[in-house]
This record gives sequence, structure tokens and C-alpha cells, in this order.
Amino acid sequence: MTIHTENPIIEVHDLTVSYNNKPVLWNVDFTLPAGEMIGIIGPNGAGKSTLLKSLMNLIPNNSGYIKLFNDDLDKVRHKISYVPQRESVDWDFPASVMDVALMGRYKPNNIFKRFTSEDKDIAAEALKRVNMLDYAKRQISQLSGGQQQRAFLARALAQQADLYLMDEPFAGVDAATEKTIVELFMSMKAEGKTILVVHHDLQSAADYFNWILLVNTRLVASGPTKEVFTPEMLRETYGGKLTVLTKVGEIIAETQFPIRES
Amino acid sequence: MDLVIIITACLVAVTSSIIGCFLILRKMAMVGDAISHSVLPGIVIAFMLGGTLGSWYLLLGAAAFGILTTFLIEFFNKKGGMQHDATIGVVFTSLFALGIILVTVYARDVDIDQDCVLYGELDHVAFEEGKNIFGLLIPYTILRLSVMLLCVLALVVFGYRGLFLTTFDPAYAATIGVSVMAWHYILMAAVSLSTVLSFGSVGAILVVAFLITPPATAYLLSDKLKQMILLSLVFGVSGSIVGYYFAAAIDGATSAAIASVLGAQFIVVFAFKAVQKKYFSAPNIPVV
Amino acid sequence: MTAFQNIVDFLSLKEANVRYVVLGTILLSVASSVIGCFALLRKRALIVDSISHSILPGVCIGFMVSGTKDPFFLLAGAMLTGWLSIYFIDIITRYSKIKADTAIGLNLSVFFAVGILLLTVIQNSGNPNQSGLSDFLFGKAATMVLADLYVFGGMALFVISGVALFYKQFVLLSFDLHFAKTIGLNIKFYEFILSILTVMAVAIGIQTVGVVLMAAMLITPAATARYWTDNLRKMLVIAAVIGALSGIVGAFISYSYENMPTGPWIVIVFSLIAMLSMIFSPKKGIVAKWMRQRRNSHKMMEDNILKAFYHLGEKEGDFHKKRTVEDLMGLRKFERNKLLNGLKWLSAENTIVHINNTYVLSKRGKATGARIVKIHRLWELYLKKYLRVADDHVHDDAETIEHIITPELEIQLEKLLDYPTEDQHNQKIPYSK
Repeated sequence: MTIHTENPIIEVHDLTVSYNNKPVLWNVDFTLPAGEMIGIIGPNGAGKSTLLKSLMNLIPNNSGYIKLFNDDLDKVRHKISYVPQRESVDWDFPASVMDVALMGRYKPNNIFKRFTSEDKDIAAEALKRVNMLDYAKRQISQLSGGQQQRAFLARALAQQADLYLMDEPFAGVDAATEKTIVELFMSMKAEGKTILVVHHDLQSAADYFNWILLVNTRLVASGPTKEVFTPEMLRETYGGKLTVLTKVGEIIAETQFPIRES
Repeated sequence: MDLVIIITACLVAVTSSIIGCFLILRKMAMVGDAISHSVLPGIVIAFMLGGTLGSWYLLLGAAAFGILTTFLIEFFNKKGGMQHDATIGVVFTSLFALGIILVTVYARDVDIDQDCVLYGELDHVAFEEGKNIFGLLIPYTILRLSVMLLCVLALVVFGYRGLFLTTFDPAYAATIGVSVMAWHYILMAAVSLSTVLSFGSVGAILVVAFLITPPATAYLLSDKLKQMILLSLVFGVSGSIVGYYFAAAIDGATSAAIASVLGAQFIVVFAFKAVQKKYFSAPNIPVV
Repeated sequence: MTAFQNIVDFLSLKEANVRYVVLGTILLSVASSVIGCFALLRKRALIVDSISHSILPGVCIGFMVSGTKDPFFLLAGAMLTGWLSIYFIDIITRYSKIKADTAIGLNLSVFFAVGILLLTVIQNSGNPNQSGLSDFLFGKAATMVLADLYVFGGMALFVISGVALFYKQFVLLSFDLHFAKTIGLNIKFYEFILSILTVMAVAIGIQTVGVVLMAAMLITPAATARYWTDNLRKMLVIAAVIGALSGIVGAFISYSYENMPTGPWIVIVFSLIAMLSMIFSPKKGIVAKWMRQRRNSHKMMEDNILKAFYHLGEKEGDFHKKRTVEDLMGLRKFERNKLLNGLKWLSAENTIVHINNTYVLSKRGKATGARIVKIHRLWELYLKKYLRVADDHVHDDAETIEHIITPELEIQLEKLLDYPTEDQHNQKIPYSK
């Protein structure tokens, strides 16, 4: 069940993505509305993160196209903030919380210049918003999981984007931090931002998001939570792998067949 | 005389430490090791074509072998399907073996021997020819190393943010449109050039000790990148000075003595930190 | 003496000395290659490098303690420092924030530096016994005498037997650590044994290849063998054979050229064999991959042509009508040259018949074409039903998948969809009689 929207902020058309020559996402099609809190839900290892990464062209796609703000990614990068999974970064790196927040102010064209005082104010403001300003000088190796996540979010806020893509921001985070983050997202939504989140927990998904993408190697459903988050759709999403699809994927990997003829 | 040798060693140590900080933070210590071995055939060919390490084109050609190494490692891994760590091992041992054969076969034509390959000829810089600058006769080795150091300093000063960003979070860097590849190759080029230039002084293998050890020691002690770089410089320089006198005392190769002292620094700091962690640190209960 | 004469003399193993050296290098190489397979599979290739560099100070210490080049002392020292480096790498990564690659590089270079320092001190001390100590740096197979053969050869056999004895446990350690834990295998103990054997193999191998390049002796044959098989036993055998071969070459070099170090030559031979394997090995080689791609394109073209014939037949109600190249190109955007080639292949297989300037689908051709079309339409239905793909998006995907579906999958697919007669575009699905 895919419910489409007019004037989508993200449009994905017939997207197939592979890893090591094996397709991990098949024929994904959806459009997403602006200004919503959108959750990507599905079993582990079934393509949620891959979907987010292909939106940012971190993983190339084999077919289809993606339009963001009805334009190509390279033209609208400055409007998008991507927050990777917390464990993708080495937190022993010698940097402070403020260093991380300030990274949000980098752009390819100012990477050789010094930070302006405006940059520093924006970074400080972002830290304040996630209750991390007091930790600005703290080294990131001394942070708890929740604090690390909030540092990442401060970086994202400092980017002052319109669309935020977040990969499992609630993973491994304590209850109080989770509450803080949800409240932050709500206030961002009230400002008109769009937030797309890969989420791991079914229980909270219905509460947090008003639009949901159900993903398991393919798109099972996309639409408003009430319509899509039904037992039937969830059964289909979590009901195990499609055996024929899996077998075909294996054959493609083995014979190294091209995913699209041309 | 002593001073000249010590200055040369310090120059090598300082240049290598700065680059090495980024190498170990990127978890590319072994790629650095591979590059320093792989430039050997390039150096020998450069010698065969043009005498001593004087000509800049030849130096660049030798450094090209370093970049070639990174390409080969990528190629064998991605297209050739070889395991990543095996690729590193196969590539650098092959190129290094080639270099050793060239050194042995062309020993007469080339002013390098096996010992030079292993530990350089640091002490010979005292007898080297030099250029007259402001009334002082400065050996060519020191001139070259100084230029290299200036280049590396320029890279780190101007490229600090780029290096910082692409080292800490390359995925994020890619999403904001920064070319992670470009910074990677710039760093690899720096490693190649630096090992080629350090070759005459400390040899192909010990240069790895200079690249990795002071940064590793500094990493144990600091939480800020700028401080880490400065500390590794301090360790590099102090190791060079102590190592020089140590070598004189026991009549051993200077470069090897310096590298051993750098190792000793690491052991001391490591032990200190381990003890500190076990007995003196309060349990870290971060407030949410 | 001509080069050929030289080789013949060598291979005939006339001289006793040559016999010792050849036997010795074969044993050492086989021991290293075999143990190297496990190091490779456990992703410990670079630690092996550290072990070999760390052996140098141990050899020097052994010399300094005994005052002679007695293999017992040198080996004891070698194994001590070699093992210490593994121990240090473990300690460093466990008790500090230093990462694995840094720990390995650190150990490698610092141990080696200490070794060089000791070596130069020894060399400068003027002790006459020290000549030949530096042979350990790049190897000199020809320096092995009968006494050495007993010691080193014996230890090589010990290593090989160790592998044979603990084969099952080593397999588990390499492939399925998790399973090993669940069945209660004493992992620490067997890892310890494996590391002792590895250090031993490295220590004895430096005779032939030397300290600096020793890693290649363990890793390169194993990495090469990987291209030829996925079966561990076969991999061990292939690695051993490659090892032995290269060892013989090294011994030959040492025999023919007095002052040439054997290590680099052995490594070059290893690397050449590895390179050739990477290019030419039947399943994983680059050439094989390329040929597979060509076969895939070949099949795609043939399938697409037969499909075009079938579509034309469906449209006009006559499957076996004469068709021209233009007819086919009107239906589908073929590249003219490739189309002509494809038609040639198909005529050779009798799926189409070439008559003057026209082509006719044979009965066999019709059956094949029908099958492709059937699979295409079944797959479109599958995409619609199970992946909920929109009707106008299923075609491109089916265009690829139709070439891949095997007969087994075909049966599964039609059963799963309950033998539909039409696809979502109301096109008939042809079943074979």
C-alpha cells in the first residue's frame, strides 16, 4: 500500500540498490510529504539504513532515481542534514562536543576558512537546544551514549537544514534522552522541518511518527500511520524473507548478472 | 656535527609525527607501513636514472610508487577479490622485494646498499655537500627535509578542518559534499613524499616507527587533536635527541636508537596510563 | 656453464649440499604456507608481519647471550620476541584506546628498530662470529648445512604435524568462533597453540626469506590458494605446493648467485603466482569474471531476440512467419550489429532458421521464447503481488530477471502464484504442454 503525496519533499522512483552485486532493495517507490515526522520501520538488516544512505548517494543505486525538493541531490545538499548511526564514528577521537557541533557549519566552500563568530553562536545555540551547552568543552570520549547522540543532533541542528535524515537516533539511548530527542523533533516539526528517521522499535513508532515507511528488502507500505500501521501490514513486513526473491538475489550475486540490462 | 645530525633526525621525526597523527586516527597505520616499504623500487630507479636524491622529478616519481601502492591495494581488493589485509601484505612485500633485488643487482651503479635501506645513513649527513645560505653551509638533506616540513605544516594549517572532518566522520563529510577521496589521496601523497625524503636518513622500515610511535604515545595522553599533534612533536624531538646520544654510547645505528627510544616513550606512557586507569580513576558516571 | 646446464645440475641434486638446501627450503616453505592459511582466514595477516619483524631482536639477543650462531639460542631468542610481540599487541589493544592497526605497526617497527640497534652494536663490536647474522634480514637459503636441516627441518615437521593434529580445532577457530564457543571449546588454549606454531613457522622460515619479507611466505601462498578453492583442505595443499615451488626457486637462486639474498626472489615468485591466479583462476579470476559477463550478455541477447520473435508471433497470430531484421528492430531497439551476431548464434543452435534474408522461428525457438515471455509475465505478477510494485514499474525489472530464473525457480514461481493465465496487463501467460 503506497499512498502518494503532492509536492513531495522526497520522491523515490523504482529504486533498486545492491551491495556486493546482490540487490538489497528492490523497486522502491514512494513520495513523502514535507513537514512531517516520518519513520522507516522494518526488520534488521532488511534495507532501512541502505535506503537512507542511497537518498544521500552514499550508496549508488542500480536503477531508478531520487528527487529531493524536486531537484537533484547536489543542488540541494545545503538543505539536508544526515545523521549517521552513532557507532559509525570512533568516539575515542580527540575532539570536544563543541568541535562536533561546529562541524555542522562546514560547507565545501568554507572548509579552508576560519569559523566566524556567527558560526560559533549557531553551534552554541544548537548545543543549548539539546541541553549539551554545559558539556561544550567535554571530550567526546567521556560522553554517555545519550550525550553522544545529542552531540550528533546538535551538529545536525547547526546545519540549519530543512530536511533531516537520521539513522537510528534512539538506539542505545536512555529513556530521558529519548524523551529529550522526541521533544526536539516535535519542536523542529513545528518549525516546518521534515524529519525522516530509521527506527528500530515498533512500540514507539506509532507514537512518534505520523507517516511510516514499512521496509523489508522492498517497500511494503508508505503512508499516514493510521492507515499503514495495521496488523496486516506489519505481518507482511515482519513475516520473514520472500524466498523466491532471496533466491533470485543470490543468483544475481553468483552469476554477477547486471541488475539492469543496459 | 652532532647538531647537524640531531637536526636532521628532528626534522624527520616532526614531519612524520604530524602526518602519523592523521594516519593512526584514520586507522591507516599499516597502509602507511605499506607505502613506506613500497617506495623503495621507486627510489632505486630514481637513483639509477639520476644520481643522488637531488632531482625533484625523480623524487616525485619515487613518491608516485606510494600512490601506486594505494591504487594497487584498492584494485586487488575490489576488482581482484582479495582480502583487504592480505592485499596490503602482498602489495608491499612484492614491491619491497623488487626494490631489494634492484639494490643488490645494481649495487655498483647505485649509492644504496642493504644497510641503507634498513636504517639509513643518518650520520653521513654531517659530511654531506650543502648549499650556502646566509653564510651557513646547510646540507642538502636538511634543506629538503625542511621544505617537506613546511609543506606538511602548510597542509595541516590550511587543511586542518578538511582533515579533521574526513578523519572523524567521512560519511557525514560526503553528505555535505566534501570530497573524501581527495583528502585521502592528499594524505597518502604526503606519506609517500615524506618517506621518500626520509629514506636517506632513516631507511625504509624505521621511518614507520617515526610515523606511528610518537602519535600513538601522544594519543594516549590527549583528548584534543591540536594537543595530540603538539605532543607527538615533543616526543619526536626529545626521542631524537636522547636517541642520538644513546647510539653514541653503545655504538649502534643512530636511527635505530632513536626509534627504540620512541618505543620506550610509548611503553612508559602506556604503563602510566594503565596504572592510572586501574587505581586512580573515579568510575565515570556521566550525568544524562 | 650455460644457464640450462646450471639448472640441470641443480635439479639433479647431485651435490649433497644442494640436497640439504632444497629439502630444507621445501620443508620450511610448506610449514609457513600451511600455517599462513589459518592466519589469513582469521584475518591476522598483518600480525604475522609484526611477528616476523619482531624476531630480529630475539635472534640478536640469542647471539649475544651465547656468543655464537648456535641455532638453538638464535631460535629460542627468535621465538621469545616473536611471541612477545603478539602478547604486546593484545595488551595494547585491550588496555588502551590504541586501535589494532596502530598496535601492529607500532610493535613491528619498534621491535625491528631494537633489533637493528642490537645488530649494529654487534657488528660494530667486531666479534668475528657475527658474520652471517645479517643473512637473517633477507634470507640466504644456501647457508643451511646438515645440522641446520635437522633442527629447522625437524621443527618444520613439528609445525606441520601440529596442524594435522589440531586441524579440527583450527578449522573452528577460523570459520566459526561462535559455534566453537557454544560447544565449549577451550578457545584460549587452541589460539595459544596456533600462535606458538605460527611463531615457530616464522622463526624457522627466516633462513630462506629473511625477517623483512617473511610475512609474504605465510600470506601470499594462502591468498593465492584462495583463488582456486573454497575447500580448506584443498587450500592447504595448494598453498603448500606453491610454497614448496617458490622455496626451490629460492634455493636455486642461492645456489647460482653467491651474493644474492634469496628472500626477495622467493617473494617475487610468490607474487607472480598470486597475480596470475588473480587473473586466470577459473571462478574468481578476473578473466573468468569477464567471460561470465560476456556469457551473460550473450544469453540476454539470445533471449531478447527469441522473445521478440514470440511477441511478433503473438501479435500476428503466426509464430513461424518469415521475419526480417527490420521487423525485429521495429519491435525492440536492438543494435544492428549485435542483433546480426545474435541471429547467427541462434541459427547455429537451430532455434531459428536463416533463409536468404529472413529468419524463421523453429519449434524449439518458439518453446524457448515462450518460456522467457512466461517468466517475464510471472515475475511482473510476483512483483505486483508480493512487492506491491506499481504496474508501470514492473517491466524493467522483469526485463532483467527473465534471464535469470532457473527451471526450479520457475516451478516455484508458478506454484506460488497459483498458475495464473494472465498477467496484470491482460497478456496471456504461455505454459508449455
